Amino acid sequence: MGQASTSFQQSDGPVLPHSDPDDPQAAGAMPSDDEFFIRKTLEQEPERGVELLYSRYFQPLCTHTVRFVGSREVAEDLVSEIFYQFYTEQIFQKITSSYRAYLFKTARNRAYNYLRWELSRKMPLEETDHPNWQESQLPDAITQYEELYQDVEKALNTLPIQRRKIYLLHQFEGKRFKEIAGELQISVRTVEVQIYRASKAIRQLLKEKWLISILFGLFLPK
Amino acid sequence: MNFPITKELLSDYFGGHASALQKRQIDEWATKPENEEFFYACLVEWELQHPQYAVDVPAAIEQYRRFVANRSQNEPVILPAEPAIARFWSPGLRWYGAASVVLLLLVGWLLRSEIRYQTYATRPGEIRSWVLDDGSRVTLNANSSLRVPRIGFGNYSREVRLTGEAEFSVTHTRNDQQFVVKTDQSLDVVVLGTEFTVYSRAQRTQIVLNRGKIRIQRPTGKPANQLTLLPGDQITVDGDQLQRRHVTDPEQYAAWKDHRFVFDATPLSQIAKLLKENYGLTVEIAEPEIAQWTVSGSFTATNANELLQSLSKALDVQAVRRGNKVTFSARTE
Repeated sequence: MGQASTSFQQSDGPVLPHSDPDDPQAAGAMPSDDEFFIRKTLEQEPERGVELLYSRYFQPLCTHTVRFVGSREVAEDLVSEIFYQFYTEQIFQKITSSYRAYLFKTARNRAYNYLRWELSRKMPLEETDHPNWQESQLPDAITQYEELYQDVEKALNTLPIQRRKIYLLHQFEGKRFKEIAGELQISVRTVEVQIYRASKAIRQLLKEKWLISILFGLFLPK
Repeated sequence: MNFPITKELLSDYFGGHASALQKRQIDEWATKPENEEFFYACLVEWELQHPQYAVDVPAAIEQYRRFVANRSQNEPVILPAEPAIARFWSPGLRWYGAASVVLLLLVGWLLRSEIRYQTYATRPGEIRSWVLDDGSRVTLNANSSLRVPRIGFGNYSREVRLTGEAEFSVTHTRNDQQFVVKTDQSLDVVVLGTEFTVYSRAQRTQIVLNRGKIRIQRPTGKPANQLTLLPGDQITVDGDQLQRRHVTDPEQYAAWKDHRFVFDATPLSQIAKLLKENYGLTVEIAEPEIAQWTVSGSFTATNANELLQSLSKALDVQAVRRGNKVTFSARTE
């Protein structure tokens, strides 16, 4: 057991697939051998194997998820859930792709669902009441994920500087109104108002483009 | 005519610098399953080069270890054998360590419910409907609350907790995910796509099935810990007693949804409970014999006063309301 861990540690660290970027066909088809040691460890010691996955993918998974959901806490929660499930349901025994592809695909789906929920939950009932609502409906074009988080980023960038700062302190870093007020030497009320305006503006911008598809899950075929 | 999709192009694309035409090509390219691995490999690399913030990975692993340890409580956690840690982990510190782990778990646990759950609630006298994330509809009667997980609801769990009274119309999901209503009386309703009413307040729990099929689960050890209901079945749980009865008109149990109250030889003493539960009114019955008088029929009332008025007419009694207190007394001629 100890051997498995030691032998892995040598190849641990930010090892990335050393594929030839100029030959995508070959690279795409390759069975990713860079996860060989993780796979071996998962077979022998699932707990330890998942830890290895944590060291390698938790950071990029969280920083990717946060682009969608905007909150560090939510992103880490979503990603942790995936890992927990990966362990408790022994998902590593079922998947045929690389762990990397599985983890990222799942994280993007969950982030997407979270954002959809976040955007729709504050709407009056009549608008959300639609029989076509299905959790399993996800974008069928991969670029829609990138477009979505890029739109989140753009929406953030439209905010006035001070408002954006307050919003990020609250939403992204999870700071309380009081803490932000103390830090920026402004009143709690101001913080409240700024955050309210910021979330309203972002919601508005995202809704214009994403509301229909997000709510009904009807991504038009290409 | 198609140019190759390279790491550089994908990097541009992740950063939002790809043109509409390039995006279209990537879309097409990505539909081929053999390109998936390359796509995600590039995504990881790009994410590592353009992080949004520094993630505390050791803390996350620590949390994961606690999760695993918590799961298999009696099995010891295998910690990576690092001598420095082993020395530090002396018997004296072990208790301290265990205590802090327990404390951390406790704090996490306490905060958990706020982070994890969304609560829908109605005030006294209020009836409201919501559509949950999975498309299921819930209507809460007055003074009730429903707790729903914020994350992953419908995806890998559909477990809600009800206090009060509600009508559910549950949608079927593609992955056959069960919908479970938990009540405070250690009774779970497992749903298989259906319409039903659950009543779970201080004294008793009652479930009436309108359409479809549900299963009742109770902790093992109690009598009849699993029971499948068919339309029209009514289950009443009072402490350890479980009663099953067939009703001909299951819809009437959800009549409150339309601000309608259906009574069938219901004694005033029971209506007093309803007034307390739905409107937060404290009821006083002046003469004990009136408490046994019964009411039958269907009443429409959008608020407590309207209901009181109808009741006093039907029973021919006097109902006097002062604030949140109501007194029923025989009419003085």
